[in-house]
Amino acid sequence: MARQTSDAKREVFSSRFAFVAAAIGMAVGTGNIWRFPRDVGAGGGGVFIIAVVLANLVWAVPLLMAESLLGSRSRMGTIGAFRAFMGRKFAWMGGFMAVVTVGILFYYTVICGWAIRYFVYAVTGKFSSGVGKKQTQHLWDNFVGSPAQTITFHVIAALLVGFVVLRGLKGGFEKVLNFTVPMLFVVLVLLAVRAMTLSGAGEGLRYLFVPDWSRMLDGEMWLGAFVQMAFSTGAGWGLYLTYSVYMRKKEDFALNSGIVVAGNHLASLLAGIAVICTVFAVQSSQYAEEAVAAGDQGLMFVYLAALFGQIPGGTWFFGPLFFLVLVLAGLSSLIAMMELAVRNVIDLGVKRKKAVVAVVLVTLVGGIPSALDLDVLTNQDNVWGVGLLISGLFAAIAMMRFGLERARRALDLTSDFKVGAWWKVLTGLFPLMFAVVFGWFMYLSITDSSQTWYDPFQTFSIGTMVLQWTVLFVVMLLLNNFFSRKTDRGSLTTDGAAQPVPSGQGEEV
Amino acid sequence: MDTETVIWTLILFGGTVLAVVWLSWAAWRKEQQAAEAGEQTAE
Repeated sequence: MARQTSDAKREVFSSRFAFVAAAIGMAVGTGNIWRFPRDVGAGGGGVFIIAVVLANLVWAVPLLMAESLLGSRSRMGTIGAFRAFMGRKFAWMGGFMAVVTVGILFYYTVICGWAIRYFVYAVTGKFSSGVGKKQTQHLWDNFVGSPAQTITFHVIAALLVGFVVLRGLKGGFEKVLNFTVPMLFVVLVLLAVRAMTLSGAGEGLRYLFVPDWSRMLDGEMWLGAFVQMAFSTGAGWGLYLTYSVYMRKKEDFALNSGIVVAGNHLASLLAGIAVICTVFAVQSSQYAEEAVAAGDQGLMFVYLAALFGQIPGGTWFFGPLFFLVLVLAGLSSLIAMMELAVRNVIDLGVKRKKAVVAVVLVTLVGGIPSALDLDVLTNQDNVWGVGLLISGLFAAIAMMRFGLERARRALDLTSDFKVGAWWKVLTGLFPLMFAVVFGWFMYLSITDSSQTWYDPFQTFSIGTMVLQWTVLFVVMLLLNNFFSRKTDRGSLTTDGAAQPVPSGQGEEV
Repeated sequence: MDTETVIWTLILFGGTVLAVVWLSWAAWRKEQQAAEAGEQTAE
């Protein structure tokens, strides 16, 4: 049950468990299931995992704490939070952060639609013993080549999530996530245990966990680890900021962020064990190498799907469970993305019901190009995925403008685990970390001979990213005054808390 | 399964499990303490 604060018609999470479960659901997505296992393999096994852990500690934890302060103290979504913390000239930064995540929402709904479709395939026995890679490849090609199917399942995913978000925190996403997130972990554990008990699974564990120390000084490995971490934890997306709007007044920022990051990492490792051990146990090492090189969708929908018929209980039990995990992980992240968009629309003065209808309609339309063309989806994944790094930078800049010491004191006010100088140092260093990761990414894109880096019409080029970001920057700057006017709730107090909202000005959630 | 695999699995996977359990336990303990403090104040 959610309860309400006294100063406004504001719902808050009923317990720390409820908040943390929602936040872990936000962080654990399809990337944990299909991208992490591939990245670990490509990054040198255990050495990549060590790099991800370090990236989590120096990047994700401080940034999530910053987002949490922005959301919980302003009690507004990304636009209002930046307005409150940085002043009226900077609301556009929150707008940028929101639109980047909405850009992801569009194509992510399509991906969730795929997961739902494959879950249906699995429960109807599509992956039986006679089905091999050739058949699953054919099935995948037919599915993504059928606009009627991809659009139908995109619509189903958007409507499902829209229904949950429509019901708000109380009876909506808190209730759903309190059930689905623990269920996600139970299923992941089941799948990991099953995979580890298959004969030959040891090879998979070796591939995942034994470090290849020759990669330790490999810059691309470190870049991969930071990018994987940035996409996986949701740090800088504005999603944790959005859930923090509903945080209870007294919460421990450091401890909560730590649990979310550690929980997300555990989900990645469980998924890695489930996927990689299954592939190594059932097929040859050569097949396994081929599978992890086949891309996110290739690994899951073609290579892995072809193995279920060869595992005892795979067709009717473990196959459906694999795709159920994918559905749960996808939808729990999608709920956070849609709530981010809805929260911002509500802050602009629209009632939740109208805001949800508008966001669902925009999502349905915005996702259609990605549902129709895989190249568009890949382009959007690249453009807005890298755009998240910029969003993260904005969150760090907001802290600096607010004052790192002042922010640290505000974080400490309700924390049991006191935030030390390390947080100030890491947040202060964030622009430098951003410059290295972002600069390296740009360098690799420019030196990639398979594309013309400045061509704005190529899928992975810098040109397409810069063009789309520039359009977004310009539009957000033009809308800045409108955003500032609509989200003006007065200044923050010295401890970073929002001034009480006058009666009648509180939004309906 | 060779010894090297077992050791690294224990360090990297077991370490993550331990971290999650410890952090969750710490959070649970703080919640209990806060609830007890609230009850005492009410009395």
